[in-house]
Amino acid sequence: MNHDRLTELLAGWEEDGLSPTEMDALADCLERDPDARAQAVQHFTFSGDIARALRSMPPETEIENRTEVASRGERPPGNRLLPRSGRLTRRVKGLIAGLTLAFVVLAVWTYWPAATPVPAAVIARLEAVQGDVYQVSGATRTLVQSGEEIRAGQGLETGDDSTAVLAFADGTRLQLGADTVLAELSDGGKQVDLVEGSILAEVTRQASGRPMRMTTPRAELRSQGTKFLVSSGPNATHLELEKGLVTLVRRDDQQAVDVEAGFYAVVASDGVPLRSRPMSPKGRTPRLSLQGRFISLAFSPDGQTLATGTNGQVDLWDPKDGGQRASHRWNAEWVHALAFSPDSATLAMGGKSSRGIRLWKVGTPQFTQMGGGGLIHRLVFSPDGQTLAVSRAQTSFQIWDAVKHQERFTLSGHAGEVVGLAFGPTNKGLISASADGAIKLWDVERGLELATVAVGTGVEKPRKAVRLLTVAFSPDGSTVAAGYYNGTIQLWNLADRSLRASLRQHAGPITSLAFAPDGKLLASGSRDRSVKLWDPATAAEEVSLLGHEDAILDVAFSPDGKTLASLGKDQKVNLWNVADATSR
Amino acid sequence: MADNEKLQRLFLQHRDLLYSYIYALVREANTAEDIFQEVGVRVVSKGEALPAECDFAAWCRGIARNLVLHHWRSQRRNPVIPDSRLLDALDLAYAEAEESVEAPQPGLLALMECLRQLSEPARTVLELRYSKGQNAEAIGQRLKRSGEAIRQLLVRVRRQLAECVRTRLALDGNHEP
Repeated sequence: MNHDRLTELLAGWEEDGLSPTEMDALADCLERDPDARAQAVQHFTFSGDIARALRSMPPETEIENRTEVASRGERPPGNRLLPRSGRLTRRVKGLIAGLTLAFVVLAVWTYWPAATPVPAAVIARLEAVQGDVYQVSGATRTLVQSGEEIRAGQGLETGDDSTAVLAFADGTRLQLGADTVLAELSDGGKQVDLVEGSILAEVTRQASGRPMRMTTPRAELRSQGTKFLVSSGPNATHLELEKGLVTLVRRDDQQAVDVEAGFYAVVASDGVPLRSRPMSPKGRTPRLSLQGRFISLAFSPDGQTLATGTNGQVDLWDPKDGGQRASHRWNAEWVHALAFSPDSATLAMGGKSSRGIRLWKVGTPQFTQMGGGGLIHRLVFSPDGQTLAVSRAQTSFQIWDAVKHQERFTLSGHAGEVVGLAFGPTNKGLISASADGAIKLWDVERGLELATVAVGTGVEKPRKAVRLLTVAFSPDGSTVAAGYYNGTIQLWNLADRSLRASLRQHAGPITSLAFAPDGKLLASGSRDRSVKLWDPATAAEEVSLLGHEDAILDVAFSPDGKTLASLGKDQKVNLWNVADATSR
Repeated sequence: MADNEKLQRLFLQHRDLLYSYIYALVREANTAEDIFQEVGVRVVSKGEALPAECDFAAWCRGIARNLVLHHWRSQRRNPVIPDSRLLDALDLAYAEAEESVEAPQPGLLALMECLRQLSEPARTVLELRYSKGQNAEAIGQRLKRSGEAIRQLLVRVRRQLAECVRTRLALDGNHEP
């Protein structure tokens, strides 16, 4: 729901003027969208403030007199927030009879600035706008298009699938990624404030002593002619240098580091020392890269196959040499979810349409279709392969008999969208996680909820209201890793529901998490374009893997734990050797 | 016996969002003020064991919600009690707002200054809406305009007030609300 429609509904609710359908729509929107909830709080807080302010002020005249005046339409409403000056100007005019025209112009300009506003200076021009991009000025948000000018005092916001390029007169170009917010640009255009999101910057040579300054909540960057990528989230600012040199300053303590081409640095809230590190150290480049518009991937349990999903097709690859082995066509279907059966003989796949789940006998033309009902988000087989759990980006999920191809249960109980599913070591127990931070345990034989573990509201409160985006469960079932919109990863002990650690080195939302089969590594993918490997026992970051040019969509370990596959929005699947990644 | 001073301090800490929450439910300033005062009395004088601090705001909202439900049921005209989904969603919204470091700062003084600068018709519409609790149709009838015109005016004036407050606070060296 867009901002204006939500404003309309909130105002309608405030006036007690919503129909039951509109009330449902408002409830739906608030249930699903944390930004809408924040907007609602802002709306009502402001209304309450207006009411309280009015109550604190003595009325200028009785309201009955004013309504009579207002109904005669004697003054234009609501567009003058400056002192009234008509009488003064007339007096000035009377006094200056016989003076020069220049004096009159000066008096008019001095006393009626609102009547002749000077437009703010043009700072830059928009190019290559894709998706919904907004120019923000005060409380006003306006959709913009390529070719439009951006002036001093205006900011920019991109949507979750939008990009734009800001081109400056001196040739500097800033490419804004998705979910990016730039605060109001200053006159002169020499300072850019990245509130959140990412920018790929090409900064032309600046005048000596006047570097372009970019700030984020955590850091300041000074560059005088360079090409770099900066990503900013509440916890961290992440900088990668392609060309030139940038001085990165941590705002908390003014500690600075010079970052050269081919190096990266992270300013994070967890106090890790600020240093510049090589982006592609030996052994930390992908050993293989597969190109294609992939949106899903899965390793087969026997380790012989890597499957990728794309538009209308699933491809099978040899993970050792990247050779393509087989394909399966599923016309007009983007394959969003993939899961191999435990014996690697069947590949379950799901898409966006109402055609449900397809079970493909790998390597043959045979397949079975079951179910219906829209987007399939996640598929998980039970250890014996008899049961398939299916989530659809809703608050409930389904349990299917994978042999008889029948739905057995729809399990409801989550208040938020289900973002993770995992079977325990037996075929009976299943864990689900939802966007509101709840983890539930289920008996899938009887279709019963056994317990709820509310993680995310325990010992440590996050610094900002967050949405849980993804979870992963450790192979021994003792730990759940939860990834949030603000870039935080939390590790929770399931037995006593205690928070073990918070990991804060990512500068963008966490899109994917995966534990290695032996539980000694945790891989995280983020919209800041990086993949990180962590030691879950010590909560230390082991390695950053930088080889994607867009947000990470998914990560997965091979069954032997020696390879990590990362899927990026840059139409690449990278395979990384990670056998030596742990320090233990 | 509960520590009254601590309760008072906590209540003051959370008062802005609590008042906003109550207003979001009842949508009428005078009723919101009455219920807010009642919550304050119950919280501070309750004398029960103080809940853990991270639950305090939720506890207050629970008291407020019960008082609001009682208020709705006691209305003489056909009471319209909204679906609990909407009430739950609003509760979640305010729970999230409580967790946010960037808690809203009202800037009431700046807002009052901006209100003083409004034209009379705009100020009149705001007073009828927020002080007298009249809806857009009723205001429109009084001012001989359509309800839709009044709604659009309210949206415009709110935006201008918000911008005015931001500018004033920035000039004063404060962060925006």
